[in-house]
Amino acid sequence: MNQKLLELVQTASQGQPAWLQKKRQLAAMMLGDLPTDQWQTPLLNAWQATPTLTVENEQANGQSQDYVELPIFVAAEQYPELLQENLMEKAIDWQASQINALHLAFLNGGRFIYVPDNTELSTPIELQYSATGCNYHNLVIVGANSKVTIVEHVTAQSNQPSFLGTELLLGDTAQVNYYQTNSFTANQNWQAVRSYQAGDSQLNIYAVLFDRHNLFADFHTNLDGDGSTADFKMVGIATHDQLQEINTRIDNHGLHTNGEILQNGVVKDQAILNFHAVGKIYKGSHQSVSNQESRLLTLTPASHGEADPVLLIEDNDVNAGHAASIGQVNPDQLYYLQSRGLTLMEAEILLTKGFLLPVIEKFPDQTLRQQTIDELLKRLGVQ
Amino acid sequence: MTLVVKNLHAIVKETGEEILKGVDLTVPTGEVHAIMGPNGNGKSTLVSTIMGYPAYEVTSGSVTFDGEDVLNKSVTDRAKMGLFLGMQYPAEIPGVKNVDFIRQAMNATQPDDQPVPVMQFLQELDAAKELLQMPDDITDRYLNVGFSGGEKKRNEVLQMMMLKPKLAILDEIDSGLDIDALRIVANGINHMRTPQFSALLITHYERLLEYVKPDRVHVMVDGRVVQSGGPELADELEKGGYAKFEQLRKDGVHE
Repeated sequence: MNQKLLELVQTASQGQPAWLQKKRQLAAMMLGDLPTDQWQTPLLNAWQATPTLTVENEQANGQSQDYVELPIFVAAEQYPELLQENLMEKAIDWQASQINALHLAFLNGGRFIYVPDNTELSTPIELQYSATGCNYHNLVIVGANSKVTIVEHVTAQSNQPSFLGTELLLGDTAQVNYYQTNSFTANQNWQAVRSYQAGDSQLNIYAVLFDRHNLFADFHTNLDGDGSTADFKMVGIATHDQLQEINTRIDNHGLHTNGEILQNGVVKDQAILNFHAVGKIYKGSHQSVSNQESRLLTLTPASHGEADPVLLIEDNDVNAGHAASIGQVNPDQLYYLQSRGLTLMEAEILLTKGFLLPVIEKFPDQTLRQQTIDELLKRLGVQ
Repeated sequence: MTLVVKNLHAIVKETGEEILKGVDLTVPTGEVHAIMGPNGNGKSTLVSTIMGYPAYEVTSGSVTFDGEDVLNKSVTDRAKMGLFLGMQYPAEIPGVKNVDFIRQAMNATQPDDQPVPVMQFLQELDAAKELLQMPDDITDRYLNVGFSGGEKKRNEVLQMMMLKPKLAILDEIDSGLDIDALRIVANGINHMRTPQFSALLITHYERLLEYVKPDRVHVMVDGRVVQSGGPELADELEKGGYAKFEQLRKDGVHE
């Protein structure tokens, strides 16, 4: 056990509820016993070499009568039962890996959002803040029969690797549209969005992966309740020497659950963009559906990517399918566009836009769709 | 703004096969010329080479437009010079709306890089669509995706009308068109005719030339222009076929 690490965490968690102090210290103590891998190592090393243990209790953007939004450490005091039971327990399990445990032990801030049962919000909840430390965690609980749109836009400002974690817990028949577009400063970052869904709940995730730094992303939902559905749509761009490792997984546990993944990405220069998608239908999850579609467009010969859809089917009475493609840019398309006076770069930008737009156009909120297109143009250097 | 092709030789890059075997051709400003000839004799290769299609390589000869060398320029710059190629098989580009593309192309080929005002653009676009009897939503669709053969051809002519090139080369713009569509497309081309506009039409059939009267007709056989003449040459071809010209080419080889 690393005594110095434990002391650091003890100091950082002073003044917090006893249960949270204990949990964070336990995470530090157990660190060495938990599994790790090549993706986690650089972040684990950087954080331990230069620990950032500031605690942020910045107030949330707006206060509402309809729902609760609080800094995560404030929420730990005000809603101890909810946090004790749910914080890194059901969706992002703190004991699952070293990086999860250290994320908890070194937690700097984040938000707690609680939408009570039977609440329908007409305007999106904006989950937006600047993250100056390395580890931020959002816990979102949406009660039964509630309907909300949440927009996560966290700006990670640390030069140390950042880990932005979000847990989404959906009650029976809850409907959540979750948009995410985070940006980072450090060269190597981590992002996890994990969810747990009760019966007939519906989670739609729209993830925009336009950041310019190396990223390991982990999207994962558990369709636990019967009739729950998850629909993930994501667009990504990787350029220069960037590496984006995008993992997406939907686990069907309940009866007649439905999981859909659609992801399109464009890779340029020497960049790498990998889409690893897993759909697992557990035994007993009858009449469930798992579909995935991953498409990559490589613009330059040195750029590359993988799209490896995996279906793990344990039940017989299911419907599952996958499609994947990695295509180089079609020279006839480039020629056609150039023959109308567009430069090679303009033609590439148009093809990139054209490749991602069919996914973006499926985003239901018109304002967010337009924002995503604007972000895309900005990412491509057009605006 | 005269196009001059001199003793142009070109090969297919991949195989090395020579397709153009010394083409000579001049299209002066304000004139409409037609190139006729049997399939597989280099007509499309000639116009693709003029536009800079990367699969072909020029081995000797020259192409100039308004006295400026064309062959040392990029495809983009050839378009910016005022050259336009209406393609036989235009590429389909999913996710790119026809209207957005036309607007960007129009701005890219403006002489002073001044973007065209939106209202003016939309008015011109509506007028051109009406003239070509294209459905209103054709420009809201993705570029050429799911277009019928005839819609693709009309969309090439639509782009020509919007971009207003100095020289429009139309590669088999008449193939696959029924007689009504042919008339409409011809109408679009005639609409462009001014003393500053020239056109080069590639066609197998004389029919298009009934609607778009050419100033000159050239016959291309085995990678060369073997005969040039007035519009009556097209009639002669219609009646007698290409056999005579193929013979001419053979005789030429013996010389």
